[in-house]
Amino acid sequence: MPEPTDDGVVASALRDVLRTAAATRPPEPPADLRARSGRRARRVPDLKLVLTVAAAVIVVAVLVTAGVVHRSAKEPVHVSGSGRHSFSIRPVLCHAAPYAPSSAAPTPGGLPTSGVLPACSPSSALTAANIGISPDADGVGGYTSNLGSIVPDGALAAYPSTPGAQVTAGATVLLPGEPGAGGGRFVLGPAGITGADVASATVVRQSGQVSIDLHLTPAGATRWDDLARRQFHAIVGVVVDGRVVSAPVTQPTQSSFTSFDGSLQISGSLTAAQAGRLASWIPGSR
Amino acid sequence: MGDGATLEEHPEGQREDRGMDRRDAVGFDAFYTDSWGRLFAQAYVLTGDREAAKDLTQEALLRAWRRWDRIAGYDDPEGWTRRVLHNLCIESWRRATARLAVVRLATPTESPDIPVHHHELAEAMRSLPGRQARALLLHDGLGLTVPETAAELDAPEGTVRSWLSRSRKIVAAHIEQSDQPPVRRS
Repeated sequence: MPEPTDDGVVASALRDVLRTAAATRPPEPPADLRARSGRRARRVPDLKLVLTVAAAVIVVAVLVTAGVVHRSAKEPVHVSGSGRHSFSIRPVLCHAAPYAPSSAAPTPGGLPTSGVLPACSPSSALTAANIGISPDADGVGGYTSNLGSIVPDGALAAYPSTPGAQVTAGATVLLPGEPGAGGGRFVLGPAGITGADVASATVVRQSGQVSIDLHLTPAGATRWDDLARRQFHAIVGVVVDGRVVSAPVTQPTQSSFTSFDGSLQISGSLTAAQAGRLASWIPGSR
Repeated sequence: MGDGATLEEHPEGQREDRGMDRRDAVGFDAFYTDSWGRLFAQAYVLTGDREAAKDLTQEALLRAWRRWDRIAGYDDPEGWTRRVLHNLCIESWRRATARLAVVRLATPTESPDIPVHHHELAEAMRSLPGRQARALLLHDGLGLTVPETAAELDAPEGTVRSWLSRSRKIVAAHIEQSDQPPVRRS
């Protein structure tokens, strides 16, 4: 009896996917592609710029990889205002250095835990001005920023993370980040929206990535737009049970703020392994 | 590095700027319509993501259109476009590590017909070195012979054979490991 080989299995799987996927219809008619090509060719006359455009397209594809909605992969999650997980979205003010009490300078009046957090240092503040988001001019959805060069606030090493009981909606808090949010610690302002503002949520699992579509109550929609407008081209933190699970940039590919009309999608760099866990974090999920 | 830029030796757009467009738009339309699904499917296998695959397919076809007056005369215009596409896909893997989360308007797209579990295969492909993944796709997926695969990848046939053997084991192990229906929340 011949020994079974892997090549049959792999070839069969590959051909199965190729056959299924090949039935997909082209997303836009060829005329549009040609028109796009013509416009680009006139506007982008040298190789370097052409390659830049191509790179931008790839960056978009990568961002899309992180979470464009695919309806068939959607799993509706019913949300009530009284979920067992606390949930909020807050402005991210800065990253904080890891807690290091021994190296901290003594603070007047006792431990910093009991006091109000100091303001983030100007150089570490994650303001839109410091982040410097610049959407790519070709309109295909890429962007550049200074995010990689903004360092955590070292002075905050003296402050431990805010205990769960003190993570109230109105408080400015210092919280640890999950790997999906890039780890580290975050200083976040008062909550813009909480679980009570969420009407429904949909977890989208696609290609090992997790996204969440949130639909907000009318009041929540207004509150979210207020926060998102304030944080346009800056960062908001999605906080679940006292941890930052995602820290997305607000509308980085747009040149001006657009109302979310109560619907937002958070797409992140979560791995497939975190999918189930994230699903359970959605407020009110069962 | 390596297999990313070999097809990019000619500056773009200069001919188009001269005014007259000598390219055969009707011929390109037919080529586009005929080849899009096959190319998209390959990009999907290499990226595991429909939207990324669509963008990369469009980009590869866009590049084909830019050179269409030349490529139209080739024996295998789709082969040329395929090489560009595969390079774009492999290149996109490297960029994926620099991903940042974003929050944006929820914009539902059309319903895909591709089973979610197919991305397991793509994950396995992404775990391979780029040229080995391309070799496996070309040989086992598209049915090219070893000499054809070697020619497309500009690699010795013996090397391609050992790539195929090695990558099949890796991908088969990955498929077996995840050979169960996708977990759904209830």
